Amino acid sequence: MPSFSDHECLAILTAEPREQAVAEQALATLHDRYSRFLRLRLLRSYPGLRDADLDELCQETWLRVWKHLDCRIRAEAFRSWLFRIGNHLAIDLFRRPRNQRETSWGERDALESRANHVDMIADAEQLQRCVEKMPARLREFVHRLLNLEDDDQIAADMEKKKSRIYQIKSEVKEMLLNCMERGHEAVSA
Amino acid sequence: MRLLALDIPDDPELLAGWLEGHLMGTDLQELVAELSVLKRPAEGAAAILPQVLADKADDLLLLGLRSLSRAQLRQLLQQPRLLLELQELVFERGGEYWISVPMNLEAAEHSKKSWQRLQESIRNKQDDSATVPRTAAFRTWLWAGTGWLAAMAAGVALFFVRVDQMHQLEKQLAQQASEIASLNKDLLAQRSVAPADLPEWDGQVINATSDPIDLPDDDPIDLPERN
Repeated sequence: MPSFSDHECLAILTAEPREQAVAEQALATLHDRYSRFLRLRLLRSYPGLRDADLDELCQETWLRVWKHLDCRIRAEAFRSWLFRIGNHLAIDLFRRPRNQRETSWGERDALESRANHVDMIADAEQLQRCVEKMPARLREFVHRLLNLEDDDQIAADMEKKKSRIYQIKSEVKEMLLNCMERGHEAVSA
Repeated sequence: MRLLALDIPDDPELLAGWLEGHLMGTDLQELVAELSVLKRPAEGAAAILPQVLADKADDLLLLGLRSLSRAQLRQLLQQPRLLLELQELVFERGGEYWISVPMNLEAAEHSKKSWQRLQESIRNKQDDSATVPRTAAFRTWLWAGTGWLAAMAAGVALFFVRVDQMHQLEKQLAQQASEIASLNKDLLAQRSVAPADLPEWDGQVINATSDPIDLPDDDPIDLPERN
């Protein structure tokens, strides 16, 4: 497949009449480049979106690009335009009555594996409680690790071997995960 | 249950790549939430993204996080909210490097499926639009045909109206001819019963010169002048 620049893709897609096969290639190029950006941006703006709704939104946004690409859109502004379309469609989706949505937000949402926004906040709160319970020296160890301090220096200050530092890191992670799970169990009990 | 922040690579060389993966992944918010809890409590005023990136902003958009110093990466981890701002910046202005950051399996699968669905929709739409010209042509032909038929029908109707008018005129003529014939008959009949001893008449009924009574006697008298 020939590699088009954004500018060429837009020129092909706004040509009148356009050649179907080449136009498809141009759209595939744009999709390949920016579909991930669009998806992530929508997910960031609307963390409550379910996968199926997100798929629908992205699909509809790209169809708009295919059908209504404005010839005045400059290549540099294409991404902003794409995100704006996605954003408008997301707002439309939220305004639409639930029974008119293509996907229902029913029980199966609860089965989705991806942690949703609320779960994420709950996890962060639980993590906070677990960190507070942790011994101060381990808390300081984590602080230094995330402060990107030199491993050799940390090992020397803790009077441990460098290889032990990596083990400690792994143990701290395990401890925190166990604590969070117990916390969640305690909450659900 | 997972803890992304403590998966931070032991090798400093891998740090930029690890962070880029999260910037281009679906779990950045999760990482930001964890880092906010696990980092050292903030001291001093929080920096804003342009301050942290300083003169490396353009390099970062072109070359990725490898263009940042360790101190700059540290600032990003210590103020994790900046990672969200950085993600936005990359979405808006990130160059080819960011587009080519490897996707995780889930993202790659999403992208593939999304394109397949999109291609299918486009081709279905194309099929629909291919039938539109045929329908339009048929409709045009139908309209044209209907127009001709209507014109012909109007012509035929006009012809019959004219023929009917001619028939009515012929009828009127025939009626008038028969009336004239009957009047002629009456006239002839009346002539045949007229008296035969009426005096013959030749000459004038009134002759002014031979009948002076009809003339004025004299000129009228002039009326007196008015003073």
